[in-house]
Amino acid sequence: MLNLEPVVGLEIHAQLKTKTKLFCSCPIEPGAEPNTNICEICTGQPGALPRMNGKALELAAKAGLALGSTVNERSLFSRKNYFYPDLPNGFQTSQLDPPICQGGALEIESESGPKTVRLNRIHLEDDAGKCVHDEKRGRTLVDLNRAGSPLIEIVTEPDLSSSAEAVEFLKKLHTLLVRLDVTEGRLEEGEFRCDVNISLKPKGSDKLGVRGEIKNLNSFRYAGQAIDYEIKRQSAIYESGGQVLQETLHFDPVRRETRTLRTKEEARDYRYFPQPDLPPVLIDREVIQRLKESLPKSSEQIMNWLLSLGLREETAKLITERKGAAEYFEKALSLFSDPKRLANLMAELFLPLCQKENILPLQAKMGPDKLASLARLMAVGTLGRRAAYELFPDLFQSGESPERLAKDKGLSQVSDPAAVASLAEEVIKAYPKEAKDLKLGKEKMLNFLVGKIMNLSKGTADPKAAGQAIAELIKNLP
Amino acid sequence: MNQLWHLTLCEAAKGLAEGRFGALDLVLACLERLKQTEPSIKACLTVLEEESLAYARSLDEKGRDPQKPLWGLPVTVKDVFCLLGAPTTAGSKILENYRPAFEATVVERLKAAGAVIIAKTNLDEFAMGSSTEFSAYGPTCNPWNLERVPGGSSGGAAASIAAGQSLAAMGTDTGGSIRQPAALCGCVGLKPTYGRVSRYGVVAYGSSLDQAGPLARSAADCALMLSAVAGPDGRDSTCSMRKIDDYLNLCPLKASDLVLGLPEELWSADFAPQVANVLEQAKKILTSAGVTLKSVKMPNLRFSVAAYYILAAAEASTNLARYDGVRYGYREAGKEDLNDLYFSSRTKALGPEVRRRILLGTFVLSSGYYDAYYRKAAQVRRLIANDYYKALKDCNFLLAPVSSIPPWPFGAFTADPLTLYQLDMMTLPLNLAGGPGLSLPAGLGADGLPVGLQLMGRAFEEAELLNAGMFFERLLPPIGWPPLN
Amino acid sequence: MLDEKSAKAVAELARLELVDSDSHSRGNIVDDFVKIVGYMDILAHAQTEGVDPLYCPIIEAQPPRADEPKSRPGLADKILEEAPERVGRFFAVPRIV
Repeated sequence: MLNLEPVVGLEIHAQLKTKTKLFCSCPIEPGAEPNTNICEICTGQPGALPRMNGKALELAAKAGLALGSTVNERSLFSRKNYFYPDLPNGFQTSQLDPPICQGGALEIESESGPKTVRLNRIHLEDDAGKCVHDEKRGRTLVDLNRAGSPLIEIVTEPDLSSSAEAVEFLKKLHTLLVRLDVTEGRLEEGEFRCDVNISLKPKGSDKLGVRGEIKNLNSFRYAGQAIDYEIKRQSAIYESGGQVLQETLHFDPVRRETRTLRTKEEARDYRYFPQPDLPPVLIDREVIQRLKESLPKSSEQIMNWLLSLGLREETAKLITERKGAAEYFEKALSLFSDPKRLANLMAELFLPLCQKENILPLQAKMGPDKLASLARLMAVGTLGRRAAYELFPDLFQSGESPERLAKDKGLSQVSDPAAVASLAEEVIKAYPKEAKDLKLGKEKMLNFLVGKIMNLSKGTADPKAAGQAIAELIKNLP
Repeated sequence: MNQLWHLTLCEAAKGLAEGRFGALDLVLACLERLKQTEPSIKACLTVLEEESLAYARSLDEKGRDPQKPLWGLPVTVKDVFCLLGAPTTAGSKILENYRPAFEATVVERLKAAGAVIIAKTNLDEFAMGSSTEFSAYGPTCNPWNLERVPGGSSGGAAASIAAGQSLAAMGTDTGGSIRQPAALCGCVGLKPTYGRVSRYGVVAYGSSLDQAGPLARSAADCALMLSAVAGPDGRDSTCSMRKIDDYLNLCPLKASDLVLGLPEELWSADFAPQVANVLEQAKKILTSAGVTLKSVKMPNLRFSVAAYYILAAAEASTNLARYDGVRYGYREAGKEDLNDLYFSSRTKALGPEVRRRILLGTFVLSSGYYDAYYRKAAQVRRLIANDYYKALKDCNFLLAPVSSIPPWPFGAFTADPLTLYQLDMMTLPLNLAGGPGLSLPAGLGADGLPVGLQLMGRAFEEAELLNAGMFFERLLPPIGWPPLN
Repeated sequence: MLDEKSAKAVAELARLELVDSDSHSRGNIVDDFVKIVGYMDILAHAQTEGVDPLYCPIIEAQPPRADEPKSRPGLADKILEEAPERVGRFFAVPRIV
């Protein structure tokens, strides 16, 4: 047995979440009738010229900033030339040197602990159209609705060493990019897909072996299966004393095996050169700074921050993981700084309702300001916990001010000493034995009597004030 | 038959403004003249007779709009400008019958300015050539001598104006394609600064070199055309955001204000004697009028033909990859294999010169050759641009010949592409640098054929350049009309 | 050294056959190609060390555009009308194997 270890690198294509294509104003609309969202630019008509979508540039830079890449203030588009019916211009407009982002890294959990996967680069490019093969007619049919859609390609260094690590990386990257609103990331639409480069090398050696490149995997599972198959295939070749060939491969998910698309000899000569129809891509330092500031924190950062505020781990985790929850929490906290109370309201009431309605926290009618004022009413004792919980579904549905709604429903807390005292008197009259036991030192009777006051007040009484009133009254008991 | 086709664009505009005649009178005059001369010069690929007559009538009915500077003026566009309702062929068989779904910015602006587009003119296929002999639809003849080429690639435009078929034309200039035919046909042609006029909807040859511009019978006519079509365009990313100058109200120049630089590398070429005589005569006229002429050195111009053909061919090779018979254009029938379809459609429907340049361009970008050819040429381009910058530091303009030889007989160079490329030496360096150039008639040679001169200026100084052109027009001998019936 | 073989490889990349459609003889286009490329070697004499390449003389180019969809009724159909072969709303080509 040779002692070989796999070396895996990924090239991930993510479709950017823009309304229009990268170089024209055609809408992006998955599932549209074939060739409806096309114009002279994305069909490569003579004389048509590209104009770059500024939003795509910002999204690419944002992805880079979140991944710790350097964003180049000046990058360049190049033409990548080859013939294919789904490529209307006869070239793809991509970036060679310099790309929009360079470097960066993403940390993943591997079997042997945390592992840093370095990124080589991120660049912008336009997508090709789609080919459908019509067996009956013996024709290939071309739909250019997708042609010109904006993509970023994220290229990793060959830092991964198993299918499990690769899948973990892909999942983590996918979550991050979706969370950043960089991509919708719908795998079934091909909005997040990858090419995998795999080679084997003797354990401990620095020298990379000959690699195979598996193209166009659009599911995490297939990516894992393809890597496993390819590792097995290459190992078998080495075991039998053969040589692995540099090839471009296709993964067949039904047979779970790879097949050759192109050998090295057939490798395309893409003839990259600077795209003369597009000026250099410029992005101001100020824009980069603004994007940096707009960046949501990483999960680790959010988790640490929430724990430092004294939240329970369970609550902190929920707020970290639920999309948009941390942003909502942060806004509410900026208005009323009682992290524990806010977090508990979110965890117990707010987030479950959002989930039920299938909306993001910031899309709820009940904005963070309303949550903050609710927490404030509770903290100053105007609203009891029970009343707050009772009120919550209405608050969530209506987005009304909690003060107003509490008043309307007569739920404002009774902390007026005279009112509480009269309630306490009533309760002591009704439960003389329990009151006496309390006076004789049975402390837990206090809770019982306060509970009765709460019942009587339908939860609006301030429990603290109720306790004090009872303590005061039993002093006078015989 | 009315003789209004004799007018310059500016004279015709004045006549319309004064109500001396209407748009229809002008358009009719030009169309008549076109019908009369077209059989011998073959300058037009499409004549928009009915459309332009109907449009001229509607203009007359509505009455003159003083907001429209080209109101009622008959013009043509080279057949690389996309125009709705007519084919755009670029002189190629691969675009025979191709009808664009959108219109070029230049065409939109001409229409918005009230111009009547009466025809689309002939050119070398995809603007690759300098004689119109490479048009898939046959060559255009020079109105001054029907056995000679009109120059190119905007040869149809130049011949058409020289023959009186229209008052002005829009052409494109990638390596001299406006200036050289203007010189060979005895008209005025302006190549504006790269980025001054939108390229949107102009069938591309070399994207970083192509620039649209006017051809007409005077510098003032070119100024009128330029003011209608130039300026920022959001559809062309390479079109400059810089506002356009006023090209129409210019202060008269004094000869003593003018210092012209004569690039040694261009003036030391081998000239045909009839061309050399006219050029010498013109220099004398300028000097005796008080203009200062001085020699300047631009040492990198000797690399310009090589650098130009590498860069233009490289860009062309990928600009023309879209002609694959899939979405539009010619497709070879009966091919059941996609690759066969690509090879045979492209080989059949692209002409030999276009294929030659695609091969050269593909080669210089291919793996292993990119640095030695393409990148090196782009570096040389920088050196040439620097040469212009330095030369224009101490002079107002550069003065140079346009062609070292007079219009040549058909077929003289078709078998010798390299010689043909080298003939572009006078014009193509300017496209590498990007600046503006104006070609003017300098006089007629002993053979009775026009000889041109060009002025080259600093980037975006079209107003100054046109002003100088108007000044020189008054000094240089008028060449009159070609001996056509 | 450039020869017919390298010309052939270049033609393959460009999807062109090496025929001269004027004379249908093969020699011409290859000979021209070799001769033209040979002339380009003059560039070897240019002093370009440390010179920044100039790819396009753009001055004050247009900034990126806003991400706003534009609808242009009828445009897609007009584009489709030019197709040499169609199946429904698809452009059609021989089956890719």
